[in-house]
Amino acid sequence: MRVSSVMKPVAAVMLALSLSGPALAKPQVGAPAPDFAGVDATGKTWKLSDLRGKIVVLEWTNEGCPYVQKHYKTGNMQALQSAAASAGVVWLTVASSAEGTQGHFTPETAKTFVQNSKAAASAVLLDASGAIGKAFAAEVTPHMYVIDPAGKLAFMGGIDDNPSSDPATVKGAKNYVTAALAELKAGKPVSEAVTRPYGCTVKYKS
Amino acid sequence: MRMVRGIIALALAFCGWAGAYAAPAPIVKARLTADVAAVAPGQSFWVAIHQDIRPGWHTYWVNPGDAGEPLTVEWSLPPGFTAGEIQFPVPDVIPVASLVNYGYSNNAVMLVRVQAPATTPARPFEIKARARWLVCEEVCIPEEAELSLTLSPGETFASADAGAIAAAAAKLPGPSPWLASAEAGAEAIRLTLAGAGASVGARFFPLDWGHVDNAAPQSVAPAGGDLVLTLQRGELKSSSPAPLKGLIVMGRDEDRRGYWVEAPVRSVASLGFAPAAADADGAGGGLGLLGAVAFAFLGGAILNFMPCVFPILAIKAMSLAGAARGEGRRHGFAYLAGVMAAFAAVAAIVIALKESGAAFGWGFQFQSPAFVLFMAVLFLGLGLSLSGVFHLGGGLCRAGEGMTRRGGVSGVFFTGVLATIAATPCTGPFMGAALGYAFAQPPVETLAVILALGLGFAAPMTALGVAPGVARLLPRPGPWMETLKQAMAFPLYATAAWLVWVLSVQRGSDGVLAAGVGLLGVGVACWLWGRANGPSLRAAALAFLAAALTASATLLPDEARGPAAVAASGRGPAPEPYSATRLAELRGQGRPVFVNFTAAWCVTCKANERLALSSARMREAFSAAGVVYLKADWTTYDADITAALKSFGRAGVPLYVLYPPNSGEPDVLPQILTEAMIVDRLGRFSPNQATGVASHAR
Repeated sequence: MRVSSVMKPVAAVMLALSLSGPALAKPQVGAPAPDFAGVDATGKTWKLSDLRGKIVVLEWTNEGCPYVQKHYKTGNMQALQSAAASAGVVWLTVASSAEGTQGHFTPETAKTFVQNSKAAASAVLLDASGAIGKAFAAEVTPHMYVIDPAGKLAFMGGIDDNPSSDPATVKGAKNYVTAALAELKAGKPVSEAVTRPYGCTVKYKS
Repeated sequence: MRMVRGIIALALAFCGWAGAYAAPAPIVKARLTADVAAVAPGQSFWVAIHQDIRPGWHTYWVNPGDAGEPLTVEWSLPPGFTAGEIQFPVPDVIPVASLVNYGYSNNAVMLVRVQAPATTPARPFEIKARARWLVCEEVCIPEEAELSLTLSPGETFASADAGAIAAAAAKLPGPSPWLASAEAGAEAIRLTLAGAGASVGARFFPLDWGHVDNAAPQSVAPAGGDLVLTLQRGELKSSSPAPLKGLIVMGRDEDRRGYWVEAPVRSVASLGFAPAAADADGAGGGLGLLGAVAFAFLGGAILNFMPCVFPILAIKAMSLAGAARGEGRRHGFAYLAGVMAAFAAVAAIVIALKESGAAFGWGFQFQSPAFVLFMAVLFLGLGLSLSGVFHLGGGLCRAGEGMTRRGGVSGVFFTGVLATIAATPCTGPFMGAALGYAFAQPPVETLAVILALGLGFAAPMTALGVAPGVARLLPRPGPWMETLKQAMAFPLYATAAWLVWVLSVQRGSDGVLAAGVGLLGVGVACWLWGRANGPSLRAAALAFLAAALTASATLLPDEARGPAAVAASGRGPAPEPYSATRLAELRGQGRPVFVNFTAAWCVTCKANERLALSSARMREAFSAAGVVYLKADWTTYDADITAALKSFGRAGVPLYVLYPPNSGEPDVLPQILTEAMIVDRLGRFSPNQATGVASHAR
């Protein structure tokens, strides 16, 4: 325990002034998810607050990352996306790689990625500024978030419980997103709401 | 023909290129070695996976941190051979943007202990490892390699790699020599290593994900012989956290060593003050010190408007308004120099006191409930002084006024010095608060904060000297000064209230009761002092204060008096209080004596008592050896005990001394006790007694 931290409030109180610093808060499960507006590869704007009443999944991506490739090359991610779509879930894939970094998307490269991978997300949001990523404190690709119909964060973390880049490990892993969506659909609280995210670091603009 | 040859050449070239493309040069060059060249049946030996990592890239520790993946190995071993877990070397912190990973740069040696069966193969045999790892720079690349190593059966002998492997094995993390415990609040975890003392550059590397925020700065502070690390909690904010496991890494460069700790985590309502720890040092640390310095400057400036100081300032302003410009400036700076000299002296005293206090093992820390209690009482007293219940050193105030009227530049310098002292009646409470703050700081911060306070205090007068026109901005002295002074009492009351809350977190409702007694006592004592018109009433006030503080300190529960410890002490050897005469008496009788020098605020002492001195087994061991157990309690200052500590060259507790029977040389035990150690020492002087018995038998 650093003592200075104890006395900081004392110093503040002593001088009858308040010391408040803007803390970069990580989102909390159970609290309203940070709202955002993002433009997708087709130019359409997606605003989280417009999606009230629906379950929303956010998936951070970087097509060059071996961990993302593990889930796309095995068809695992596309299968999750399709299942979510048929259940009325909005699935937004977010690319926060800055220009010039691995996984950066222009509208064209994003479209090519969707075509080649047969991705079935509702949209791919282009977040080269990192605004959405930082609002959610997305650390890695793939980092997953699930938002409930009331706009509250219901799940955040790793896609499954096998933090390996080996595509062979997709089979047999427990998929946390599938489990969270099933529990939300059943009106139950998400039992594993915060899991260890794994993957490559998000290549934010420095 | 020539054309065909050309086509073949082209095809070969293409194949060559295609081959190179399919297998680009690996970023990590991996090798498999063993510390033996030949393996005897039943023998265990080290197998090492060496990673030579391309500069700028890195591989990962068993917990990779915020991203990444550690090395995994699939072994193909001859029948009967078994391979243990991968032993990772001490990792480095690898910051990546706003994240922190744990891993290795340039090179790393991972070790695995392999056990040979009772019958080894007849011929040389192969150990094969399919190793997979992730290597990252900006981007990450998963790599893998089939590694193999051939060993001979037979009489074992060292391989050419034995030296390198032995060096790597010697640097593997070891078990922690310190008892670790942790407290978790809503946002922070406080990890205490009993007896680890001050350590430069200590850092905690969590073994599991989610318990600790990897990227948050860790604050490390020594506390009465212990080392306390404050860590920001990670994503898993369970109210009943699992034990905190990980590595404590200390030292630098070649001397870096890691120690595995596993700390049971106790949930506390809140560590309240903990979140601020994150920006108290490290990357976000600028604000902590800067903020404190800014507030201190402001606080110093406010002091000028106190009734003791402001009239002086006003008079000075008038005299300077008439003076020549150059003279005013000289006066201004001379005054500034005087004030700064006085404040620097105060800072020096505080730092010296604190350092010597720390040397004596005094817990000038806010984790010490006694210190928190004392500060709460002090703040109430200082507040009462501002409210006018009593006055501190009123005489000094008038003296100060006289002195500032003297002329001359050198006179002005001393005016600055003396103004600082003279202002004490009004500034005292603030100085007290600031000094209380400073007491709990590292020396650099102490100095910065106190000097900022001085600068703020001197600023208005200096400004008047440099620009006499400023005088027009000053309000006229009047009753508002007293109102302001009285109003300033409330922040101090608020601080006292807050400190009581801190105490409630640390020691629960009993702590609040203790604080209540202390606060009531100081209230009554201050009131008596204010009403006193003679030395006898003042003496009564002081006596009352002393009594109230003693009662309060006695009521303050120390953790060791919790239910568990009470039960434990019931089983352990029963101590009697230490005194030099009792010790001399016992030694005179030729009896062996064990003296436990301890204090309530010494966590190491409490841990030792709980772990090594509280079992029924120890009670038996003590009575079997006929040892008398004396407890020298140094919770409050005791000249007798201090002298005894000094005679062993110690300035603090814990100290454990075992006096053997028949006036042998006393044996000083290590600061970390174990039952086995004490039993062993007790056993050493039983042979003497046994010889005695034997000679009787003969």
